Amino acid sequence: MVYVLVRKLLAAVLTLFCATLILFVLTRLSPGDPVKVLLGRSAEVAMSDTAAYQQKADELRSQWGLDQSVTDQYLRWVTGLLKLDLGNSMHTGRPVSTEIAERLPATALLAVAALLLQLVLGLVFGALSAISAGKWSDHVIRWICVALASIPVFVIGLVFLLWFAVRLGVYEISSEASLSRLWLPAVTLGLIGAPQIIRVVRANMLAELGQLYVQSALARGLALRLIIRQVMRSTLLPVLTMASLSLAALISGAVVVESIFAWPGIGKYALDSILLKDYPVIQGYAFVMVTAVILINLLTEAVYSILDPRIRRKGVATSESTA
Amino acid sequence: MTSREKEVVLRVDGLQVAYRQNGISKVVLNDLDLELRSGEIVALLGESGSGKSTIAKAITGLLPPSAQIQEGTLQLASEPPIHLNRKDTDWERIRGRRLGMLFQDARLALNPVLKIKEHFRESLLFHRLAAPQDVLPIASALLSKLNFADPGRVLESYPFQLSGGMCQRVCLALSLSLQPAVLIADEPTSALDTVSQREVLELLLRLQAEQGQTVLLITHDLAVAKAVSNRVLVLREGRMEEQGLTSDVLLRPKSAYTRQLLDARSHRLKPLVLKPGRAIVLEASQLHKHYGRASVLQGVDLSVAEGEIVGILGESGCGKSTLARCLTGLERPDGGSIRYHGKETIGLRGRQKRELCKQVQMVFQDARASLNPGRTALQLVQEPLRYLKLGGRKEREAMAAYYLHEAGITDEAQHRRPPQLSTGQCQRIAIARALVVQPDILICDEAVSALDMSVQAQILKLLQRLNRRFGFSIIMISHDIRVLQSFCHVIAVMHQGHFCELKPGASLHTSEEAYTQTLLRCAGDMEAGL
Repeated sequence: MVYVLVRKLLAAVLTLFCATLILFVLTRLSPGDPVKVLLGRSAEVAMSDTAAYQQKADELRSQWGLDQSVTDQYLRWVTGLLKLDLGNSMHTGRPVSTEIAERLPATALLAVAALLLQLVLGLVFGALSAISAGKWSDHVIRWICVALASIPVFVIGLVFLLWFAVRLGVYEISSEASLSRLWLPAVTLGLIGAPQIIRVVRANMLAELGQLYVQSALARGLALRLIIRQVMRSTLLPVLTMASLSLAALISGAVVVESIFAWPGIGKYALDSILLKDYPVIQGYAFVMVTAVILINLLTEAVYSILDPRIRRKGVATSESTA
Repeated sequence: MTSREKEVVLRVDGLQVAYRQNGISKVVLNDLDLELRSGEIVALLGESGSGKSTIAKAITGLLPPSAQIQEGTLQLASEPPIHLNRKDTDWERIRGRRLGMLFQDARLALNPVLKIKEHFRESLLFHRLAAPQDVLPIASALLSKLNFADPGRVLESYPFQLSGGMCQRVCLALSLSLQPAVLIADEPTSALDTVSQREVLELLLRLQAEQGQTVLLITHDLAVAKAVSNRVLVLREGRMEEQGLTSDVLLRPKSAYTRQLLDARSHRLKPLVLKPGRAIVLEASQLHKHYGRASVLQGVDLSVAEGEIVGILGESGCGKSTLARCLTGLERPDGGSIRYHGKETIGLRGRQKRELCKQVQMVFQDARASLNPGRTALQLVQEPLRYLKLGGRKEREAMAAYYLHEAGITDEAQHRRPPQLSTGQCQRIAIARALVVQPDILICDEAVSALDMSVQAQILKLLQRLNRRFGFSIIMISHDIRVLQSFCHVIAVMHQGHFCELKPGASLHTSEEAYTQTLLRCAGDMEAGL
């Protein structure tokens, strides 16, 4: 058990290291010059006075270490990471970690709320759909799933905003992250993600209900509702995989919904930084996301082994001697 | 004891069941009557497809939606009859408490994520047969009655930590904990090795003797029926062919069909004599294989001569299948050598490994699962030729047709797909597919274990005929001593990862090796009745 844990942690560290390499290289390879963006409008000035412009640019370049070799820059960044220092933003000059820490809670709150909604919808309607397989309720659920999965998130988001904020006036439009403003973006993301989970729950539950142990439990006279509770546990495994992928996607991909509802999360921040070519922020953001995804996966595997004893005790067979 | 005076505990009248498939309704049970009296063990005999499992499912309300009960009543003791074609039956009252049930694959009949004690807990508590604190004592008392030396540990185990035989005994204990009036056992021992099989059957007999348990035993195995039942019902294509006391029916069968079943069983193949001085085709020495800490093969030596039929006998878990997988190159042994025609094969890759496929072919236990259901028999047999790039298109088809014909598949059946063919036909196709590349060695891993007696005899005869005609060698792996004794030139008895004996098939019964004797005794007891 300890051995497995150590191996998993080592693998996680290795993945993280590879990720730093890749995302550093990708940031440097992307077209555009952060210094030019920084100098911004004064570029016009630059046209008139090339020498002054060049001097200013060189100053900035050496200030941000961009005049050093790529290897040196990378090493400096990684040593910073080891000291939990993500560097400073080229635009605000504030530490990246502080800026991320300010925005991450809002995104995490939204992601978790959306995921919970997805899970509740997925389990309830997936199970309903499986139990009534072939009947009208199953058909209705499946049609709604297809419909929801086909609508792009920005359409639903904008329509919801129009209804609830403009027509009904029950949703406050502002850029605050408050609990009273959480429900609409959460519902939007929840509805978008639920069909996937409903489908997985339905398919797995049907497969599980066809297993011999279900027949055998029925043959022992147990009520179907009792058996469904047991079946749920086995169904949870693949759902967990889906949920962890979904959570990772929600945290790293909430950009669109955050923009629509002006939710001050990390997605919007990342988007802006990419447009500004703010290297330390882009790298810091990506690094935090990679870490989050790795952590979520590790956690998922841990829960997996709690749910399924076969994963926990793989290959340990008892040889009970019989009289 | 004559069963006539005893009261009737279960009566089925006029049961008619049909399966709907692609809009066509096929009758599988036709106006069937059945009666069980208190304290008797009744064997329901029949080949696969005769409808015997359908009876069990129909009277427990477990039929799949595609099945339709058109008519029929079920009467338990002297209660008013239940109309099985109606949907308002309160099964929770009947299943478990009145009718207990055992399934063929006990391992799958237990929930894999629940400990054994949880199974007992939910059953006993749901039926209000015990207070929560009494569940464990009741369960361990039952388990120790069913020959478990350490009930406490079994209760704390998960199903996958127990052997197949242990799982079946756990299922038996679970069923008995609800004290059912009738126990329906659907092929309870077919998936078990000889020793576990005997143990479960002995338990059934003991339950009958001690508690007067009534049992409906569904089986295709005449030896099982003979060993434990008082009465036999022979089912054929959904109708009752013959019934009567076990001794009467099995000794003096009235119906031709029953006689045919009996003949298939007692059928002995002609003893095989092999001329000496044949070339050695395969030689394996000192094979070792570990899975984690478990050592599965511990120094196996085996040599197979040209045209020789070698049997490998052993219980489940003794390493026979691992040996087969090593010999075919599906698995890489940790130590030792495997030589075909004197050439080492361990560690071969790419083209050389494909050459090995041409020399060694394998036939598996579950023929249906080993065939792609979407392809016709003719296409299936061409698969290996295509993979090994042998012959042109026309040639491949001609070869496939030839071998299918040799394996007894008619021209018309050659264009059907596995779902439309019987299990026996599927195994014939699998054999044709193995032989079409003209291998030197055919490895049959429990290739006839899942088949009915009569089909089993046909397949063995087929293999023997093909062996004479084409001169390839056969390695026959089985847990069934009866199959091997009449079929093999030489039998190797495998126990805990090594061969403990190597003896000519005809003289195995004279063995002095302790383990072989145990196996022989179990098989002998089954023949003679326990």
